[in-house]
Amino acid sequence: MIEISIEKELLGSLGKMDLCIDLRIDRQSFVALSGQSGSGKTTLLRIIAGLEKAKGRICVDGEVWLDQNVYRAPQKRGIGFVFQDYALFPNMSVLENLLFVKKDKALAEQLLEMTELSELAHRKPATLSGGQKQRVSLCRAMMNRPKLLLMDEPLSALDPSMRTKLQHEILSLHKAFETTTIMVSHDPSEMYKLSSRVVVLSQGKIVQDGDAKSVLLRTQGSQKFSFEGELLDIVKVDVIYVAIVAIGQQIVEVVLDEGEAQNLRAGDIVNIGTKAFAPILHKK
Amino acid sequence: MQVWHPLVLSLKTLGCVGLLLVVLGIPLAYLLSKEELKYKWFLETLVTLPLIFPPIAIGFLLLLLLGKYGWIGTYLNQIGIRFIFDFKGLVLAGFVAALPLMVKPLQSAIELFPKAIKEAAYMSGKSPLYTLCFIVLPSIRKSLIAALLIALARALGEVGITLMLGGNIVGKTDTISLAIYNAVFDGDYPLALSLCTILIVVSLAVFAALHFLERRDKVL
Repeated sequence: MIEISIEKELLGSLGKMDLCIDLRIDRQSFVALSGQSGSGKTTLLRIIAGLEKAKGRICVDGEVWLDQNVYRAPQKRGIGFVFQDYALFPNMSVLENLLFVKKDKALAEQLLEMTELSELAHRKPATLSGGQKQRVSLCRAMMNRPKLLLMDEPLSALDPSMRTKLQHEILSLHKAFETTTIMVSHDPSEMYKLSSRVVVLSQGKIVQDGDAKSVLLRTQGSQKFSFEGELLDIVKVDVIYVAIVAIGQQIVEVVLDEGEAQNLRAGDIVNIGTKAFAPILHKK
Repeated sequence: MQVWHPLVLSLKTLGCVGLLLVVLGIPLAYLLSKEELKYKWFLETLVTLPLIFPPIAIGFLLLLLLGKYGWIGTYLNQIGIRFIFDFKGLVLAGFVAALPLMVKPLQSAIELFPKAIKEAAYMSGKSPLYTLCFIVLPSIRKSLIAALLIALARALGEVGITLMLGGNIVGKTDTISLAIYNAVFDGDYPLALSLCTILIVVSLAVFAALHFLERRDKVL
């Protein structure tokens, strides 16, 4: 059980804000941390890791890591941390990166095997692709057999197919090593696939907390489906208006009448939903 | 003899200066790279001063400080440590002149080293010192060697401070640069020329080494 109750003043995207978090996390659960950039996700992760100081209390399995009198150094927390930009040791080979954490060759080889990196064991990080680097970083984080694994947007710099592959690896490592995992992510499908719980931050506060489905599904009332998108443009065509909306990586057109169009501006975040018909799912 | 003595003296001085630069220069560069260091501006000024301040004036100030009756010299003299007109004075002169050229580039290389990589080492249970020795310094070793080479080249050419502290005593404290001056002063141009040739060869070797380092950097 991880108990976190911390406070810290931050400079967020909208000026000064207070990061104020109260969170209890069960053992071996997989928590996804979401929210807009500047909402305090990374800072929260860094405070748990001990890389940043804060007021309050952090207690992990009965051991106090932080309170008024205690500050446990990051070296002594036994946490695995995966950085967004990999942070591999550039002067060491893949295997040496792992052994630097702990001289346990059997474990290192097992991890490299699990992530299909055995062939690359003696390569230097500079010669690896982004996906390979992040897998090494993931393996390195597991070398301490951490009770707690923290990941700061580990997959955001990777292409979609590499992402899917790594999602599987993260999940299998999480299960094999029975870690408690906290991952910062922006990708709803990723959160849905991996996490048992999603916590959403905004302006330093928790605004949503629940299982992936209840937090991530955006439909309201009798809507069959609903997507969040960004309004790119509104074009007048004869008597109607056509809104061009970006949803994820796709762009769609939606017909509006004049009344609807007047209230909308390009750049607005909108919900697109429908209830009148059953959606058709085609396999591509 | 006329060529050998200054050459050997210079090489011995360079050896000691190099050792001091590694033993003291690297920790100093690390200390200065820390953002939260107290009195950082003071330490930084002290280290950088020999780069801007005329060497002959620095030599004079050191003479005042370390002379037989100087502020510090009085005490050092009592325990038998003498810098003035001594080999130690040559080493000190070279070290003071070379220090900024060693510390400043190294400091910026350490500062520019990605914070996340250091933090990854901390999360692996390693102390900042361990991280510095096994991750940061090996990763920036090319900058380290380049800084050391340039600093040593400066120490080799050092005249002003060396003159003040060493006294240019022929056969005792005349380093190769000072020996050239002495040879010209005595009208012995052939000797001056051969000493110059040695300096040119050494400088070219340093230049070639720097070039080689840069080229290997690009290949990697």
